[in-house]
Amino acid sequence: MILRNDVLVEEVLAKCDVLKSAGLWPAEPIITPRAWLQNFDDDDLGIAAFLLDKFTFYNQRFSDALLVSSYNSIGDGLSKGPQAPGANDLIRSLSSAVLTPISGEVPNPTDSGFLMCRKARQILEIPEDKIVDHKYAIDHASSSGTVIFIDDFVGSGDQFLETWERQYGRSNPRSFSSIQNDIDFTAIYITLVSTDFGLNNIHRNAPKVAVCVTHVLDQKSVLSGVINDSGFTESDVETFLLKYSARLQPKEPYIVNNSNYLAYGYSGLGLLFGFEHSIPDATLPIFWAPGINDWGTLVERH
Amino acid sequence: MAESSNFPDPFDHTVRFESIGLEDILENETIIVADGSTEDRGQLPLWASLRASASDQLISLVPDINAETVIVNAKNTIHLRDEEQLDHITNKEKLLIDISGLPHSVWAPLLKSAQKQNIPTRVLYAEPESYKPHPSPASATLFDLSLDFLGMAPLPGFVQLSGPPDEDKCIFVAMLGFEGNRPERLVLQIDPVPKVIPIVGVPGFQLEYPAFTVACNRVLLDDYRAHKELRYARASCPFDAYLQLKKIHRDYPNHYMYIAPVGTKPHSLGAILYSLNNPNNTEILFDHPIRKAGRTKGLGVIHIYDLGKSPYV
Amino acid sequence: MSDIETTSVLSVLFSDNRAEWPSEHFKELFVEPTYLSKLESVRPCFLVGGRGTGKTTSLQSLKYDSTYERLISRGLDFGDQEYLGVLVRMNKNRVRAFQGGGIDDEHWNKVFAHYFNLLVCFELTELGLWLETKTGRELRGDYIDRISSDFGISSVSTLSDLKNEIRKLISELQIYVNNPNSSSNIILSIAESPVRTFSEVLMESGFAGDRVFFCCVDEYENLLDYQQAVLNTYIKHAEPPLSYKVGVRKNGFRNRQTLDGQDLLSIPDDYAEIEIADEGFEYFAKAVAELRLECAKNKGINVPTKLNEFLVDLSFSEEAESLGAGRISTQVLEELSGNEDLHLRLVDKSDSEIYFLKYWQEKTGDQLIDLAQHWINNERVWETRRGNHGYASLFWLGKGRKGARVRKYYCGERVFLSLPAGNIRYFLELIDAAINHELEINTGYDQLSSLGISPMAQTLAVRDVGKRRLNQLEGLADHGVQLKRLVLAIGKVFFEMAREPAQRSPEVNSFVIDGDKEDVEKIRALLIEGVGHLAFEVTPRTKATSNLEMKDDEYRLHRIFSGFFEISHRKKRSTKFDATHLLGVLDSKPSKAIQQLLEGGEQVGESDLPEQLALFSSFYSGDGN
Repeated sequence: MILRNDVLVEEVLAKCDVLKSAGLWPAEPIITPRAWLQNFDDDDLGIAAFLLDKFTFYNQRFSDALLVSSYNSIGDGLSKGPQAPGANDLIRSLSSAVLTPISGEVPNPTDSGFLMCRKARQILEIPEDKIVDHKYAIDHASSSGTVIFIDDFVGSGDQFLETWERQYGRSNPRSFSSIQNDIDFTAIYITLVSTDFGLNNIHRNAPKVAVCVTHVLDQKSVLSGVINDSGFTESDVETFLLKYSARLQPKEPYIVNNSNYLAYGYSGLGLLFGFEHSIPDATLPIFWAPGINDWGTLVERH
Repeated sequence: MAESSNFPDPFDHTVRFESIGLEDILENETIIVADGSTEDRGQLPLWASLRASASDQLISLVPDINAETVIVNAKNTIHLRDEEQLDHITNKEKLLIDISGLPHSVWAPLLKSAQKQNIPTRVLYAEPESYKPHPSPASATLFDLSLDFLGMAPLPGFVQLSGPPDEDKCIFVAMLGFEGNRPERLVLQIDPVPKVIPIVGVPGFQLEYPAFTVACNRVLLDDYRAHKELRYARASCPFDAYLQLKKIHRDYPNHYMYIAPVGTKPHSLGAILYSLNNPNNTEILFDHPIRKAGRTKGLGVIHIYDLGKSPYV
Repeated sequence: MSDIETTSVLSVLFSDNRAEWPSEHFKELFVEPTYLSKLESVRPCFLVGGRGTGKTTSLQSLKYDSTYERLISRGLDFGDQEYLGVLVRMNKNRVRAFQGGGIDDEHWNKVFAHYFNLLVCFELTELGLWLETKTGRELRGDYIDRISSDFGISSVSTLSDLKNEIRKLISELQIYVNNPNSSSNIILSIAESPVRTFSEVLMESGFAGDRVFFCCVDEYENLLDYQQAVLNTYIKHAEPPLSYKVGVRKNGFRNRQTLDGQDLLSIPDDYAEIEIADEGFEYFAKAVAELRLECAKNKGINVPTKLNEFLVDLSFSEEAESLGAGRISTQVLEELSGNEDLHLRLVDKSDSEIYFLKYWQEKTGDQLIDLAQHWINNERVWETRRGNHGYASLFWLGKGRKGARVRKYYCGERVFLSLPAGNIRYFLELIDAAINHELEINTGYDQLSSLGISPMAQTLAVRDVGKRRLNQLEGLADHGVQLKRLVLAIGKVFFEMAREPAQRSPEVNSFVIDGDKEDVEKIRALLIEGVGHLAFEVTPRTKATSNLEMKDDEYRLHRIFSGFFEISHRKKRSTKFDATHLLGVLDSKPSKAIQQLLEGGEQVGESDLPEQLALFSSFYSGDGN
């Protein structure tokens, strides 16, 4: 049984207010729940409020806490990968470690990997000179040094694997992957949040990498998994998303040109969360994408 | 330390498991565990097999509903306020206490006894795999019929009769959980109303839990204007909770600290450890819930905390 | 004063949060309760009142230093102080330590008495030290000896030493209570003895002059039953110069026994009872409010100093018109337009009289035209009828106002003095909420006109405070969740009844319980707990002398919920509820139980529910989850 629309809206807004007062959500104009609800027709407010209720936002302090816990999980004994080293070996390997961000082929300083490096320096007090670029890291790996990769979010896992498998050097091209096949250096990947299938993807294709992550998201954390308890049907929600995502105009061409992605996020994942420093493109664009006809975002995506 | 490592050492006070086997128990370590609880967590397969083989390495406890006594290995009953009887149980070479299925009124006095005798102690906590889903949006627990309470009473061995030397210098630390009315019921017993400082589990057991916790405790936060006082401690880490209590004490020196360990169990563990180390200016407030069956399902990650490796004591 | 300053003073003027008022203001704002002289009499006395009735403040005002300060502020001095009060509070977490542990009850009696002795004597020691400063003398060592030997300690020669020793004894007691089976022995002082000795010493030594001592004990309800018996013994045996003043929540006085076997503590032999709720609350509350208004005026804020001017009221006809009497009366006149003569006679009557015809028609099922005719010919009868049913008809009138913010007004001094049912904290909360709503609504407020709180703001405040109190129920009582469910269900039932005039007496909002004996007992226990926590009010059919109360006590929701459930706050008529149905509300299918309580009557559709009730629609619709 669902609450009447007007009541549901009031309750969800009250919850947003307490999250704001308690500092979990930044105040307007960074997150703007009331303005966002103005986007919707009265009859659709119920579903809008339901989505707003399910949106999870991690501010800087929360993200920092995730970083600390991911790092500290290095020695906790849980298996980090199908063929990854055990806790004691991982801890020992830190003595020769360097830190490098996950990034695209052309590194962009605004990539979250770089932000994570900065945070690692500030919060974990990792010395500046241990934070290196990929070229250095590749050489380091070749001499059996430990390489720690860092990023904030694993969606499909492709981003990590691209870095892992990318060839460096023209005359004698090597990748982290090939080096590990040859000489077996210790590779650690620190990230904050990962999807379950993204994690499995990494485990399958890079089984020796020790992935240290705090939250692994399963069905319970995506849209399709939470609809069941809502009182709305999947088809109601689909209608809603298709209707309103038609107004969205994200800058990412691979999203704007795909109506499924436009409604459900990259890969149709239907993620429901974002960090203060960045929002995964797999999170419902209805929360973050700019739009036409006076569309107000809930939160801006950098 | 062999080579100087510039990467900080990760914490070594906690080890985690998907499942545990005999090889994860230390030599000469006696295990204290609940016998047959209403939740799955009392039934780690390893305990069941040790029990079946009548190993004397395992001590099974059945708590009485009155929070006064406990039956040991289905044989004798001991009083939770009888130090001699408790010491007899805990006087082993090493201890591993599984608090997952034990109520506070049982593990807290056991821990007090173990610490007093300087027994090397590890504490085990098994996360639930999932909680019963909550109604949405999160609001007060109108529908949570799974709880009844024995009511406010001190934990055995944790009676505090002196009270605060200055009633205007008191703080109330509320460890928040999903049951939003519990901290409020406890703080209402204190007159004059102290400053309320909530601790939220961040990171939580699941991604969504921190926000959910804050939403569940909306009335408390509003009534006591405690929004800006929120502290964070990892939901699964007693040492983090302990650290926050230390920090709170530093921020409010000379203040008498009431603590309500009604959030996560690891946080409660941190609270009890803190109170054992600060007996004079700390008072634990507790309501002794009586759980209905079916509250949680399945076994999640298992944490073992090595109290000897606490970074903050 | 700037607008911003004005607004910020106004928004905390009635705030309960002491932190927001600097302490010197707080003393300025103290109003003596009307029962103070009763409280100050020599006889032992039980002061009965819930949280927020001012009970604790009153007991605190009896404390020696507070009394002294009040005298000083009136230009009097220590010589005029007639009594010396000390205060101990029965902290729930501490008194609950004195049970179990494998120790038998008789032993706990002794241990608890020893604890109580220590608590009181600690306070008496502080009193003694204070007296030393006031008299410029020191209490002689041999006097102190008499007290310390009652505790089994020696070599204590000053009051400061005694204070330290008592602290040590409390620590020792703590160790003992944490491990009561230990072989180590503890010396237990005898019940009453040290307290009596101390007061005798203070008297004999001349320190106290001929003043009496009041031992004030607050939160008596937290004591376990046997502990109440222990204390009752102290009270029963108290002799001059010592007397006891006990603060207790309603229904918190559970055990009248003493340790003397058959003797019960009884009125008037052993003590007097002051029910705060019966003690001129309205006079007191008005004084409290008007003192604050005066305070604001002195700060230069333009507010009336009379409460009835500050809280703008609506007359019956004004309210009827605001709720849409005009629309209904137009319908009536249209319906009757065929009969010219009748129409002519009616058209000059006020809307607030004409709409009533329609109400009466729905109630009785008679023809409108017959009713109208009857009215014309029997104006007196109808005047009486409107007098009896007019108020109730307002609820019916508001029913039709879909989407309106207010369907019934709760405003004016009389209503605001009635709704708190004797609880000063509720009273302040209502006014505080009303002021804040007014400041929100009245955005054009300037200082030039005197600020009056509009009926709308007051009504919204009543609704808010009711909602807040409802949510807080869970956190208040051991069975808070159950109480909340019960309140929600009963409130809904009365809400529906208020809107269906047919076949019903008007303003039914109280109930008696009957049915299966066991179920009656169960629900009564819950209702009693609810009364203690201000969820319900009760009018006993007979005044209780023991704990066994007659089955037909009349209960109602606490008046503070009236605005939330949009029902009458006045106590008028009662109905019968079956205990089994009421219990049905507590398990997972409340909607069925509510249906039964309504005896199958109609319920308003979900979309027509007022917003504050729609919030609980999943509870009402019955899946209970």
